[in-house]
Amino acid sequence: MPAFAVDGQEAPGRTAPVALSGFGTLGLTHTRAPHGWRFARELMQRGADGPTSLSADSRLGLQLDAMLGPDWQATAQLGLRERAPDARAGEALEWATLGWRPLADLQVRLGRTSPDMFLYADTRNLGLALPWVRPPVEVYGWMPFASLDGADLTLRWPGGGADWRARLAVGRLDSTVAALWLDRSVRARARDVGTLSLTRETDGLTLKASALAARTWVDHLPQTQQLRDGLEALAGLPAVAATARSLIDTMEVGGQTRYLALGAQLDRGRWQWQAEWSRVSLQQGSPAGRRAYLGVGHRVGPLTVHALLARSRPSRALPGAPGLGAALEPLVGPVQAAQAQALAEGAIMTARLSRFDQRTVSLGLRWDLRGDSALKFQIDRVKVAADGAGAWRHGSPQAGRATVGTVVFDFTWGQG
Amino acid sequence: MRRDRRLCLACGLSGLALWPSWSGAAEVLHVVVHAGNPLTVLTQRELVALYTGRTRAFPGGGPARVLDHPRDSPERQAFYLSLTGMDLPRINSYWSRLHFTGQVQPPRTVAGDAAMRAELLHDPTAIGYLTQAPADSGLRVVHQLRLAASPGAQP
Repeated sequence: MPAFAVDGQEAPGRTAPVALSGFGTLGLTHTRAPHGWRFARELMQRGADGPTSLSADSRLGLQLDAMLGPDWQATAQLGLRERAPDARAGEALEWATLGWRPLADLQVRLGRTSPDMFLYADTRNLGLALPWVRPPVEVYGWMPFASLDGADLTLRWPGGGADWRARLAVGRLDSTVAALWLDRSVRARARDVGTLSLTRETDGLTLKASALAARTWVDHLPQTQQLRDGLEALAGLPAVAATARSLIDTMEVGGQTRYLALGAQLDRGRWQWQAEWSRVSLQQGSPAGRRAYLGVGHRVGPLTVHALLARSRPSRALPGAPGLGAALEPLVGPVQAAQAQALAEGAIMTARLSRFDQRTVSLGLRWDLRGDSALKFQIDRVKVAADGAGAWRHGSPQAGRATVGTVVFDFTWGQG
Repeated sequence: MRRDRRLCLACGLSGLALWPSWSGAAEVLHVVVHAGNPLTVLTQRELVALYTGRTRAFPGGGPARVLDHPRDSPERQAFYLSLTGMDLPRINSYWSRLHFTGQVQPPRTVAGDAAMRAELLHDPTAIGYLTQAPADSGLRVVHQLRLAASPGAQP
């Protein structure tokens, strides 16, 4: 490290020790979808309150930064947006970190951050930083967590004509997730969480790889807990134990979880391209699958026209309802056999409603205004496969098509 | 005919945004550090890394305190357009992204060449840019950035 000649005088100005800034989006969506389906951009929200709604995309963020010394910084960010019913008040605290820089390009943070799992992981709620009105639901909407409680370490270095960044994080994840077909909530949890991301930036090209490993589970609603308890009882009968275990695996979500994602963004001249691919591997449950999108934008002055193609496909085929009733009737009689069959069909229906199998084609326009704000318009045409409406609230197993029209106004303030 | 109408609409909307314009006579901006800084020259790539928050250190490893002109100033517009090809809305959006991750704070802003010179003279870790070449012996130019055309004149 070079020795600098300090002239011994105080600099005429210093960065303010405490600074308040914020961002927000006022968004209006209008949805045409099969009867009863409600649009939602992520699992942690209740979903649109009607065909025309302000709730899905509107949000407000407030950030407080405190410079505690040349190498220490504290940051807290409050995010106000529609959440799941029964979400805890503490979930509104999106960030709360104490950061220390032992070296200029090495930072350690303790506290609450965002799991670094996507190309736009840190800014998925910051509309002004996104080319679109929202990140693609197919790739970002399945993730049941927004905040990581733990510690992370970020290292930056130049190499090979590019700038590199590696971030390692450990901790735990907790959130409240909206039930897909009832106006209720369940808690999602992850423990022993480890994430690693590597980013390479040069000449407008950003490449990013992310990986996560964790032990995850989702609590049950009373209705699904009854189903699970019944299937556990059936698993005690040798004649149907394997089938009952298979049904439990079908309706449960979680276990050992692995996630891998690759992302790229090219922003040169008037053209911008974005692409992400991810794979979720779960020990149990239907959210396991592959997801991807490809976006392209073209700028003319303050206007950017963009198009986006996104796809989410489950990796597990849906099992057919097994004939438990027939297998059990000679053993337990017709009434209990019929009840066992109903349990099996209930488990299959639970899985059918939570699978996430859809594709979206989007066209949009972004208009950058003076004063750190932008106005955006977007039309999404969504094609949902049979047993694939897991991105929707109150969805149904039938295949469907939907159109979502959105206009948003994004803004930020107070960044100096 | 239809194509002409579309172009006219785009030009009209462009005009509504009222971009700030660089009206200075200078053809280059001078990137400057304190004379006590051992740095003698910065490449454009190294300068991009400092002014896009990818590093907080000079190439030799010493900590860098990056100074900038006010957020919507013509100096800043000209600087980032020439350095990165990004106009003000794009660079503001970019810095919003970094700021609201809570990791990288935007450069401290200083209004005008005189105030920028004063900051640079007092802080051996500082780096900034001036519209006029500095006459002070306490400052050193480490890069001369040739100005690009305004956004409306981009090819």
